[in-house]
Amino acid sequence: MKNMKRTEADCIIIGAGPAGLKAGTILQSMGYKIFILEKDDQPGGKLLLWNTLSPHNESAMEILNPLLKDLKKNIMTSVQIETIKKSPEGFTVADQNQTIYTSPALFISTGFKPFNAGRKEEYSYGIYDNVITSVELEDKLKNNNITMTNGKVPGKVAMIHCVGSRDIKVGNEYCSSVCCITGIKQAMELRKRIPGIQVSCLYMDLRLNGRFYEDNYKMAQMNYKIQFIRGRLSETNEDVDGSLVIRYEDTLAGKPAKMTVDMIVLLVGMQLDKSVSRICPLINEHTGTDGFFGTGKIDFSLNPQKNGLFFAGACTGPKNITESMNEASRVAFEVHHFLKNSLISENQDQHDRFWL
Amino acid sequence: MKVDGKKVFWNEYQKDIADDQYYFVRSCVRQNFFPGAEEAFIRILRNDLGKDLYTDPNHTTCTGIGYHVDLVKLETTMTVIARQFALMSEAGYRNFVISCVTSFGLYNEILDIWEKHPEIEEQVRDYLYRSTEREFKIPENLVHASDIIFKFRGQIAAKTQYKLVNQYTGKPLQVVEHIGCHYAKMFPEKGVGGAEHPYVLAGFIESLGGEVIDYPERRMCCGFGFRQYFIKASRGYSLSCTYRKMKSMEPYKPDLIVTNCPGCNFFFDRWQYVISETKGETYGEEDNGIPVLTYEEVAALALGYDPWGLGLQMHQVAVEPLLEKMGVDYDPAVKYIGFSGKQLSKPQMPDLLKVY
Repeated sequence: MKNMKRTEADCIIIGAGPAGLKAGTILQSMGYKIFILEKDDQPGGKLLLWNTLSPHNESAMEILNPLLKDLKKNIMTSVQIETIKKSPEGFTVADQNQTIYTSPALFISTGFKPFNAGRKEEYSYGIYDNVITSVELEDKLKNNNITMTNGKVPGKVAMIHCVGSRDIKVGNEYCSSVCCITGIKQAMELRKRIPGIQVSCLYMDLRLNGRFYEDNYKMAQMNYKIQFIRGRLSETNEDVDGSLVIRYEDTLAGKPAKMTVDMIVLLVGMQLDKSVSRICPLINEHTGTDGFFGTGKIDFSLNPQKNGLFFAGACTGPKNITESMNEASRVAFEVHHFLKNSLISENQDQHDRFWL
Repeated sequence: MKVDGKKVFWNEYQKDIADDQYYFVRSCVRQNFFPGAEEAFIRILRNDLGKDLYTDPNHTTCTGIGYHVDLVKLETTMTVIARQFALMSEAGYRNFVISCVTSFGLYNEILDIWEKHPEIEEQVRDYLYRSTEREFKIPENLVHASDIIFKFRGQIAAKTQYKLVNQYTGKPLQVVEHIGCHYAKMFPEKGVGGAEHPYVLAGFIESLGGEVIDYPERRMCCGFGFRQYFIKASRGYSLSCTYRKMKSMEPYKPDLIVTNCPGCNFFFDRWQYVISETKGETYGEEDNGIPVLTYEEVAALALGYDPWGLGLQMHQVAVEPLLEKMGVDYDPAVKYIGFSGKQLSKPQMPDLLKVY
């Protein structure tokens, strides 16, 4: 305990993705002292994995940079949280360097992790060359290097929707909500960058609920000639020349079918990142039946969290970046009300500055 | 292809395989198709590995084929299987080893039913007692015979006289491994390596120096498929499945096909003859076809057992090209002389597929 560093704040935010950064920006602008703890070596969360975001093809870095502008000194990166404890005064978070962070409010914005495509054994991710995930394709798009393992440019690509989503076999029965539009965006991007490439999207249903998503879908068909097949992949195999032979069911025709392609892109869904719930039973208690935090119900109370624990972003269910940041803004105001009320009752005189 | 990727699956799908004291149940059909295969298994276990293996003249069919073509009711099948377990219990064994893949799937299916519905197990116990006055214990360990060969593959490899290596080129023989559908597709966790990338035969082949081929139609049924063959009108479908598999593996130039299922072995072997007669096509070099052996036959050959004593002359596709490649010492003159010393009937010469 000798070398322990103790840092106090009004709110500790775990996770420096879009939701954590948005909440941090709002709370800081209201005069609260915040710390954002990030396990990776740089802030940004899953935004760092993306090149552009649908439906407007905005650059991920152009979204991230303004979020970081006023927060840099409050973000601690490469933080491995070892313990999270709750006391009547609030939360105590200890990291691997024996730094102790304390605060009355704890804001969880740990986001999601992409579904491990290797769990869909029949798709043979990690076994056959050129079976990649949407995250890996995004990286190729970012580096403008869309090649196969033999260095050649693919001539035919199949995009497989709902990998790890709406799939009872892998225990994820929910829709990850953003994969369909991601697939459409990536398919159009492939067509833009590689002349003559053929792209087929094998979908279960196309769930395009976001604003302008349908416009993208229409554009993909009319302007980019993307082929949409209502079909479910049943297995992937590799042929002697390295091409991939996929077997799928055409669910409109009700028939099994085969297709040979050069590359398969698995549009992986979202799963809760359990790194904090594993170490804190109090947080784990808030895990819903779908594996994400919270109940997903409409919250009518102004100050619903009496215990100072708040959740926002993709850790409360799959959502796009706009929805994540909107939720983070709303929950940041809940944090404000919680802090205001607790400060009034506990130490009113010293915290006049927080009153609205 | 990344073999390391397959190792992930192989590590995940391990199963308990008992060390010794086996109660062995035979297949209904293997002794007619390839009469030396089961005998080779028994001799290898007893003589080469020094194991206690009990063969019971009182056990019957498991009813698998009758069950799968809807001729035998489930209750009857369960009572027959209960009787096999009773025989094992009476003989003082608890480790149940099954020769046939259809049986293996069926035993696992029945155990699964009983586990989920103990009241059905109680009912079957009552049926068995009323019909035979027998009682039974559930086996402590229930495996397929190929699991045992897989388990002891290192010991077998250490004793072999011949490897799956081409003596003329020094290169590994190219081997197709075919796992019967009922080995792991029903219960992937019951198969070594799971259902999608099974390891039970692949690991055994590798231990003997062979190289396993992964071809696009690897996971498809051999063509037997019960109803496909047993319903006479569907036999064309059975043949077309095998044909599709043969065409798919052909570019890899296999030296050998190894199976762990009676039906698969028979149909890969016999349909090659039918395809040669009807389509004028053969696979393998110089119209020799691709030899099809069981895992025990391969183990026994490698251990130096006489090929004709193993009954390899009962295979439709001639095994001599394989024996030559492996460098097996054999006498062509005694191929068709039976154990009694009498001359067996020679097969009639096919038009295309070579017979030696």
